[in-house]
Amino acid sequence: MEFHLTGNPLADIAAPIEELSESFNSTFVVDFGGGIGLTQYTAWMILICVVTLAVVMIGVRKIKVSPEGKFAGLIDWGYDAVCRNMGEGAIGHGYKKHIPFLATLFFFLLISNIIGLIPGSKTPTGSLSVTWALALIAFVYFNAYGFKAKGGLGYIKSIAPSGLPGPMVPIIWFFEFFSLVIRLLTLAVRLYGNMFAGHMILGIFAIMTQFFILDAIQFAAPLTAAPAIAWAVFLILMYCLECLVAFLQAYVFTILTAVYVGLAQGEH
Amino acid sequence: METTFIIAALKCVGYGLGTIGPGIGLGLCGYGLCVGSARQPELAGKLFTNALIFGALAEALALIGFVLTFIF
Repeated sequence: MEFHLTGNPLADIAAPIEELSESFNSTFVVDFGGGIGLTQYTAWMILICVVTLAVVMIGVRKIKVSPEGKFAGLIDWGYDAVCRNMGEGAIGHGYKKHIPFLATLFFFLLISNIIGLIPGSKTPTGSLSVTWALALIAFVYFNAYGFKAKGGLGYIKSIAPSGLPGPMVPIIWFFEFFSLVIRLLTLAVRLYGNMFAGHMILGIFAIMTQFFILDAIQFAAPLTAAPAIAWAVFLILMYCLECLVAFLQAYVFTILTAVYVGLAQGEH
Repeated sequence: METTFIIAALKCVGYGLGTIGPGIGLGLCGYGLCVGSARQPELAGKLFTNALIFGALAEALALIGFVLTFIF
């Protein structure tokens, strides 16, 4: 029995939503041939690199002994957070030489996450390739410093914590080694999963709002538009949450890198 | 068509089951952080770093489950 008081907006959703899949695809926008090209994510990433450089350069020019104006104060505050929380808190002794790397990572991630929240733009961290590259850089970085601090064999030995009874050492070493290798995966997938899922939820809520409103117009039934208000409210709430997540994920990625550097170097 | 849909649905169910453990783990991690830093506020910074490490360890399980849905 067909029962249609008004059109059912949810009936169309089973089909793949074109706007959504189009907005998340990573095919080449500009193709240079031979498997090299620009996806929309890479294009935005290049833009964000430029923006990061510009923001930091302008900020640094205005930082004297005490920062001048709100913008320079903001940059100073971000840099200070990297120094105090991540450097001193997570690495400890000898943190100063790691600050350039950590600050670059933090500002790049923060700016790309926040620019991705502007409607119409894409966040490069919502693409698994970009987060893999970033995680690989961090992974190589902390392992290299571990090797440098303890020497090749010393670093491999130090994966298992010292003071274990003899027979337990290989077993614990194996588990610790697994957790070391899996850091590469978790760093990449945590950032990607959070950003991608968040943007997908925003997209779905926006499309649901649009569906209900369009349906109300199409069938001239104003009551069908009522759920659209709820979807729009959800959308705004999720947007606020995503603003928090954008900051939090940049922070978590950087501080975990700092923690791993601290762990790899060990106590001096 | 039907089989692909069932496989996709099962992936979602499997990932949902896989998040139960890490969810409990992360909750306990945050609980420990709150209780610990309420009792000794001067240690809060150090506890926060440790909480992040163990949070990352617990979260790794959920993320492996997430990746498995791509692989298979």
